[in-house]
Parts: sequence; structure tokens; C-alpha cells
Amino acid sequence: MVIASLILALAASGSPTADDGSGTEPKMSKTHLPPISTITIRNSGTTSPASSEPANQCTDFKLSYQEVREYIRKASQVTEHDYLHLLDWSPCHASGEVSFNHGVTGIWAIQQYRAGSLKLSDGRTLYLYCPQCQATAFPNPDE
Amino acid sequence: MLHVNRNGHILNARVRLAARPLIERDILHRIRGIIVHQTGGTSGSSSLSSYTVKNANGAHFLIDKDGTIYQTASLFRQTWHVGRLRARCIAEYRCTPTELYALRRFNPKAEHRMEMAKNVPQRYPANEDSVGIEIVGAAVAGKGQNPAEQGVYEIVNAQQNASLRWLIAELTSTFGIPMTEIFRHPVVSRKNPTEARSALW
Repeated sequence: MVIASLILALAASGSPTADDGSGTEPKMSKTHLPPISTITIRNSGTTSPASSEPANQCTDFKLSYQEVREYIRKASQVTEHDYLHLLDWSPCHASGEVSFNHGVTGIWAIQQYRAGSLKLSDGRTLYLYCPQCQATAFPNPDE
Repeated sequence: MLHVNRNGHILNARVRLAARPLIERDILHRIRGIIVHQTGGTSGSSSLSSYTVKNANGAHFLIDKDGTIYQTASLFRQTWHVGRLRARCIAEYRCTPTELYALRRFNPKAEHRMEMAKNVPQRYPANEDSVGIEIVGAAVAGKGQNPAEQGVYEIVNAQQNASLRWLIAELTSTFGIPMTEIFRHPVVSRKNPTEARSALW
């Protein structure tokens, strides 16, 4: 009984929750996305039209196919409000298409500070965050 | 001067109570500043309903498209609306050499931690000492673009700005908040710079 409880507690602690009580980390949940079949990168080093900086400020922000695949696989889901209000926004992003094994496709976008979004062909939009994801163009992970 | 009841709710004909207790957090001991936001959504009703789910976050007030002011959280409780703080000393050109050295590497979490060791006005107001005002307004993107990355926030309309101006005047006089401590969200945190850009007070 004690062992079962311990296993349950460990399993719960391993789920993506974040929310460190500071009010600056979003509550995160699993995306439950199926395995990825293909990834396309449409735009790299794109500067958001919302940015007041020069359009070429993001030219160095490039992600590899493997980095995009890893991001979509590892990222957690956050609410739209937390995406807009709690996560750091970056003017630099990359975007493209993804298809999953069960036939659903989507348009992904990943920002330089590890926030991202996924518009799925079933009508849903997932807001993503992956603080542990690694890519050459991401800043170092938070300490 | 506002009349605030024992629950932290404003008693005034211009403010409609739409209490959403699920967005309330710890006690708000002192209000040192006000942060002005835009919701990112198209309607007030969608924001109000999003505040009713577990773990929801929001701000203290919501100003709808027609200028209606809703109070969604008690003024005695914090809400989580700010995110990580930027270093205020950089924007105000007054960082010490020690601060500049600490900020040489991009690390928003460490930067926030460093800021939270200071008090307002040495840092920007944060969740623990600010009131948040949300103005209903979407981030609009071109066809095929995702508003999350490529959206530009719509203009705050005249009715919304009139309500914002009134609410900020009342809050600042009631709680003794200096007008220098009212900020648009992208000033205090790394956010889409068009958020609340057209908000006036």
C-alpha cells in the first residue's frame, strides 16, 4: 500500500506542472499529441510585425528539423491567458507545418524564448511552453 | 475617492462586480502600482468565462468593448497578471556596475529574482504589489498567421479609454499610488509591444 502510494506520488511529481508559486510560471499540462510523422520549416528568422525593432533583427533565429521535432514532442500546454501574460514574448520566431501519425496536421510556431503555438487541423489551437528544450538559437535555459 | 467594502470590492455605479474568486491568490498587502493589459481575446464574456476554471489567471478589472468596468478580483488579493519583471534600472539608465554585471547574460528568471529583491520604485510593480486592469482587445494577425506570434493588438477605443482614465484616477487617489507607477504590460515584462499601446490615462 505504501509502495503504491509512493509510486503514485512520484508519477504525479513527474507530470509537467511548473507553477513555482511566484505567479510567473504557468501551470503546464501534457499535450497528448500522437507521434510526429513529418515536419516542414516554412519560415525561419522571422520578425513579428508587432516588433518596433528592425525587420532583420531575428535573422539569426533558426531551428533545425530535429530541434523543432524535439520541441513539439517535449513541450507542455499552457492556457492562452498564461501564454499572453506570464510567458516572455520574443519578436523572433520560426514556423512551419507538422503532421501526426493519426492524420491530424498543424501549423507550428516557436518563439526564441521557448513559447510556441500549434494550430491543428481539428480546429484546436494549443499554446506551448518548453523551458527544458534545447536549441542552438534558444538562450541558455533558466537556472 | 472609492468606497471599498470589506471584501475588497468597489461600491460605485460605474463598476460592476463580476467576482471570479478562482483568479485570486495571496493577500495584497499594499498597492504600489497599476499594470494595464489587453486580453488578446475578442470579447469580455470570453475572458470572464475563462476566469471560472481551476488554475485560471486574470487581473482585478476588465474593461469591455463598450467601456463597462467589471471588477473580477478583490483589491485585497493578488492576481497573477504580470510575469517576469524586466530590470527597471536599464530602462531608466541607472544600473550600478554590479547590476550591469549581473545582467550581462540573458537570463529572465535571474533578472526577475534580482528585481524582486528590490522595492518599488527601484523595480517595477509585480504581482505582489500591483493591481491589473485588462482591456478587451484581440491580437490581430494576417491570413494564415498565428496571432500568438504575429498579432498586433487592436486599438483601445474611446469608451474603453474613458473608463480606464476614470478607474486609474480613482484608484490612484484612493490608494495613494503615484502616477509614475502606472505601466503598460510590455514596459514591465517582455511582451508583445503593441499590447495596450493605445491605452490612455
